[in-house]
Amino acid sequence: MVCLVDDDPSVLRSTERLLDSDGFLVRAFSKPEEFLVYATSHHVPIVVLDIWMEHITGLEVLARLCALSPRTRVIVITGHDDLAARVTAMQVGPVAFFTKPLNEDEFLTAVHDGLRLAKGL
Amino acid sequence: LKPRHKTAFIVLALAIAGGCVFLFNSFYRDAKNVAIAKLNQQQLIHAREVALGIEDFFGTWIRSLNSLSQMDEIIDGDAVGKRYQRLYYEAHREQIMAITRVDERGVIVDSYPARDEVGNDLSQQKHIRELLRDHRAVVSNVFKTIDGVEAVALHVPLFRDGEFKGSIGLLINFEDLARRYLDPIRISQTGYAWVIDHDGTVLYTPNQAYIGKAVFGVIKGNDALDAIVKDMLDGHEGVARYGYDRLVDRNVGPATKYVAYMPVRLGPTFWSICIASAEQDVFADLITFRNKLAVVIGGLFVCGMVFATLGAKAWLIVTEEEKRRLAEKNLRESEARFRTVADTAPVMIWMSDTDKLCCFFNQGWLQFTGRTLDQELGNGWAEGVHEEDVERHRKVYTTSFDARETFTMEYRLRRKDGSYGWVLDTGTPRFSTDNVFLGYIGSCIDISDRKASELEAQRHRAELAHLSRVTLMGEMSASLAHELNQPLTGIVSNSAAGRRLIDSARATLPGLRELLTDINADGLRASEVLRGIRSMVKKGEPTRTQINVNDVVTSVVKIVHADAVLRACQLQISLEPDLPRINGDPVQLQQVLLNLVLNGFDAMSNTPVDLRKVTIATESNGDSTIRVSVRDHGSGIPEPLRERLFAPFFTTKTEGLGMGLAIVRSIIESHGGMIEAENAAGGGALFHFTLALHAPVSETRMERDALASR
Repeated sequence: MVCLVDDDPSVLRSTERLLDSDGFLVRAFSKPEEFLVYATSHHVPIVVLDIWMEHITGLEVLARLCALSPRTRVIVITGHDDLAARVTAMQVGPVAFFTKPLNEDEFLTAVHDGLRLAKGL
Repeated sequence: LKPRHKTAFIVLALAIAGGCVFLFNSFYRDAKNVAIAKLNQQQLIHAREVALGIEDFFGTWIRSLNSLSQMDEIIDGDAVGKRYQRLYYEAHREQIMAITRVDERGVIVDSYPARDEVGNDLSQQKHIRELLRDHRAVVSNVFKTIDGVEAVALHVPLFRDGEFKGSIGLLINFEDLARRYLDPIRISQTGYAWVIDHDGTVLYTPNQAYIGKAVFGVIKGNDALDAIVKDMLDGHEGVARYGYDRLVDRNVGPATKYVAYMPVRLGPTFWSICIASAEQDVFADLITFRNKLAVVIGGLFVCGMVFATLGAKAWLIVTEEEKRRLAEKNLRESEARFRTVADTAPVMIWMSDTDKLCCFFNQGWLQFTGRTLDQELGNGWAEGVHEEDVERHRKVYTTSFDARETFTMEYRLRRKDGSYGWVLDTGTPRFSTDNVFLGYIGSCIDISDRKASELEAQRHRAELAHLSRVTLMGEMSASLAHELNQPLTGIVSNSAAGRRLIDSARATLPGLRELLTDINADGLRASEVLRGIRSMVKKGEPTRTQINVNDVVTSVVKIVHADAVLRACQLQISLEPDLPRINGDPVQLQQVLLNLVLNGFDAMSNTPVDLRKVTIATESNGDSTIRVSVRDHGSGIPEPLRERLFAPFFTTKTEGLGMGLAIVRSIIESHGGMIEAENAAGGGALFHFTLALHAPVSETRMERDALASR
């Protein structure tokens, strides 16, 4: 199962559809807080995280998630390829980095790989 | 008529009336005096006639008796004498009542016809006593005979050889005498004669009761009459008058009688005759005269009044005419002065009448337009107004004119050479001293140079503002790209998902429909973002429309939303509902807010994320302005920099021109407002600015006209 966090409803739904079209079971969150609450009580193997979220920046979510569930695989998607953000994300944890709009094949492959890795561990 | 004139006229009328009354009185008095003099004269003549008649009467008898008295027979009183006496009586019996012979002792010796007893002593009778004493002819008082006839006795002395031998006398019927001489005396209605003897005994008066009485007893108490009687008793003649009480309609009133008196000389003695007439008789004769006089004088008064009225009118007209001429002269001089001033003044002056048509242009104007006064008069001037300004000009002028308000407007006016120059025209209503509206007067100054530099400055400002907007958008390029990228991501992902679903045959029609709807929405969203960017970056002329400031705030929030997210800043708005609309340029005002908001974001780069908040608030200020504030929670403004904050080329940033706030201020000021910056309580900077609901009058009117013409 893949968790998806993006505060832009349009992006959230389209990404959910993309994952769904590749057969993933998706749990979508438009609010990062809800995701963090979910993550405390559930095992999250992999999460797709938008890092330009309004109330809590994606990086902050990433940091908290790492603390909560260090083994969760994280795929970061961003609208703006910000080097600083990429570096910060890398520092926080094992992360794949994608720029919007998403290259569907690379993205889906990354999700597949990530999920497999998470299961394999 | 003025009250002063009225008073003068009343005085004049009174003077005329007074003059007429005086004339009337003086004429009437003269006439009265003449009448009185005539009456006196007439009465005197009457009195004299009567006196002469009576004198003549007695004279005749005395002469007749004198001839008898020469006869010895008569003196002796013998039979022959008695016969003579009888013959004498017989000859004159119609006129004499008796002939009597009295002896030297006053005793009747003979009387024929025998009335008195012979032997009667008459010496006690007054006239006999005088006779015996003076031995002269005497006339008795009037007395009543025993048969009740009033009579007068006349005695002539008889002498023999110088010795008094008695007298021979006649008894004369006084009533006959009176009938003959006194009764005919009837002057008018009340004129009559009365006679007294020299002792003051009343001999004759129409009132029988007084006859034989002492005159002073009759006239008792009337001093004037008393004086007259005394004069009469002195044997004088004359005219006089006296007052008495007359009974008129049961009322006693004062009246006057005019008298003429004359002594009647009867030998040694005399009577005095008085003829008296009452004044009213004189006046009775005068009534006709008086009425005629009254008519004449009345006519004179009417004529006088008519002439006075006409004269006064003429005088007034002449005076008014004189005044009017003077006023006209003054007016002409004043107009000439005005024209001289107007023509030499270095401004263009026009004047209009109450019908809005222009009636005057000074040399300054005519030289500017190069046209003649005749060409410009009325609405001729309008041909020179630029076609883009003429309608606005007409509206401003007409509206102000109808409201009697002063107006100021700028418009283009054609010069002599055909080019257009900008003029600033100020029109003011004209009123006369008694507050009657006369039209308008206006002066124009050539502001072409100012206008040109103004337009130049405006263009520079617009360019600068545009540059600044472009810069702002550049600063936001990252967030704007993100904002555009989001819908594009949605479209890309959705379309990829759709294709995959179709490929894997998992696609359902409702699912696809939903997907396409999302794509459609994202496309629109992207287009919306682009439109927002374009409006800011587009190089447009500044415009003015009726706008709601809240809408401007909302649109700015949309534009900066992404940037806020990018910088982890919160953007809060607090808008007052039902904000009145203002005249403004929406793009310029967006620029102002954008500038302030982005400055706020910049200022909060060192602020902890949870505290990064910018608040935009609008409120109606209640004093015909709208107040907008932008508050951040950054580091605030260092006090020394506050002064220079809005100065051009002032910046604290490493990038940027330093024109942002200078342009913000110029935009706010062009909207009739002002901007200030201060440090907010609780930290951070607070920028607040006002926007005028109504720009200056002329501007507002121009705008209203612009709206109305749409």
